[in-house]
Amino acid sequence: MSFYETSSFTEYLRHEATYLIPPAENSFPVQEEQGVCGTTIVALKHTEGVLLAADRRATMGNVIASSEIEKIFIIDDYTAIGFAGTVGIATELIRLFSAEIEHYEKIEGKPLSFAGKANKLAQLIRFNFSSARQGLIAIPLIIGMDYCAGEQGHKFSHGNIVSFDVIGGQYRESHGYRAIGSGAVYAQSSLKRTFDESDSMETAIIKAIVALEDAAENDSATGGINRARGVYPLVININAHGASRLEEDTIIELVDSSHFDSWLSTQSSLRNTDSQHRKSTRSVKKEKK
Amino acid sequence: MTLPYYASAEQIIKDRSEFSKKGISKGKSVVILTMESGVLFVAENPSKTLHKVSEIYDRIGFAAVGKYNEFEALRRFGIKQADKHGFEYNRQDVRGQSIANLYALYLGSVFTEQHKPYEVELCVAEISQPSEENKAQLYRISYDGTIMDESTFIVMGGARDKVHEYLVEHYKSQLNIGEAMRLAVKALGQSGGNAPQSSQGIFQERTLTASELEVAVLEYDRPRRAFTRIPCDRVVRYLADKE
Repeated sequence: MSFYETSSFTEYLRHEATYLIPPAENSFPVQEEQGVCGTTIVALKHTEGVLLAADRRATMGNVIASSEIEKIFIIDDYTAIGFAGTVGIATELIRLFSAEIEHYEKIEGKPLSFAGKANKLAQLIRFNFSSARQGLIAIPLIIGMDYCAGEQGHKFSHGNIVSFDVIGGQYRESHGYRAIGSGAVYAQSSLKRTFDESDSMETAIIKAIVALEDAAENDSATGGINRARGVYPLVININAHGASRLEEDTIIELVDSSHFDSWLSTQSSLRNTDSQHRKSTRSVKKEKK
Repeated sequence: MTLPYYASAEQIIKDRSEFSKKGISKGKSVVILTMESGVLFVAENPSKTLHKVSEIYDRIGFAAVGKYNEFEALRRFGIKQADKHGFEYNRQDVRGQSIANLYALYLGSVFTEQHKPYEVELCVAEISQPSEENKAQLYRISYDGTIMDESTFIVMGGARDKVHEYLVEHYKSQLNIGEAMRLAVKALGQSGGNAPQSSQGIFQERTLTASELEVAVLEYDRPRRAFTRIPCDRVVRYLADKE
């Protein structure tokens, strides 16, 4: 038996079982459409912590490969991650990253800091660069909270959002929101106008989903809410109690609320909502008779 | 005195065994027992950082006595093997038996091939997956690679026989965590620790306090990672029957 005195799971695999990790160099010919790509994932800070929301569409060129794909995942109690890009690469990197984080915690007896996790993720992305150059891109967006033991139990830092570029460069978000994917430009423009750091979690979820709807309107690779088929965006929230996936019923309740409608409506649709309001008051009057 | 030209294999093994046993009995004891809600680990350990009990995988825990650097290396090895196996196949494919077997193989080869045998005794404890019926399995692996499986309790290290005797008499299955903890602490107290012994080698019974203990559990009800440490203040309440 020879084992490597390292806390890094990836390093251990590289020495003991290289066949389990993506090859460092590959010579695949460059292909035009490699797997599925395109998406919008948004991260948003709020008063209780930070959240991640993603659409459900996976595309292969003009074909919708899946309308219910899950792109965001809880990594551990206080970290969540979303990936834009090739699904196969993203799944592999998420698996490796989750194993890496948990491995460290078990070996060392305490979890990594958020900055440590972000650094490790950056290294994984860097390691994937040769595949990325051939079109197999996977870029993450990571959110999380650091926690430390205080005198009266745990104290929590504010939520963190870190985005990456294809070569593993990290960008710590200071504005409080970030989007990645083919629809990111539209989602970020939407959030630029709506974001308020003092929002509650519910309002933040609404604004995140509105941003996804705005992206879906302009980006064919991003899917919007599909009420007819019961497909809604996924939302993961991290607060002082940990990371949790929101129940679909909660999301449905929020998107069906008038609060959501008022954030979603644009100038041109205000006239329509006005007439709708007039219609509804008319029907109320009828009932009173 | 001239050195013998020849030492029988039996003699070599006997010397090595005695060496390891001596090392293991110098330390403090650990008790692992199965209970209603899973598996309880109680180790006499004054250190809050140098642990004798650890998580290996989702439903697998580890406990050890003996030389710290030796069992710490084995702990890390076990975690790496488990993580690799779970990564290569599936999380549910990682079984306590395979980790225990790996330890047995490794300790066995160290015992015969290395200059010095390991002065350690290990326990691998496993509980069933959340989707399965509640069941716990314990394995004890000795310094020479001997492996035994148990379903009730294991005592290792220190004045093992005294503690073991007490549990043989008082152990009951399906105790709740408070009862199991109090039983384990009473059993550990049967060993004299560093208290002076009488000339007949009779140990004085002690009452161990929470600050002298390292306590952890594997709980059936936890959704994935079953292992969790019980902090000192909660141990105090369990021992006082106030939890």
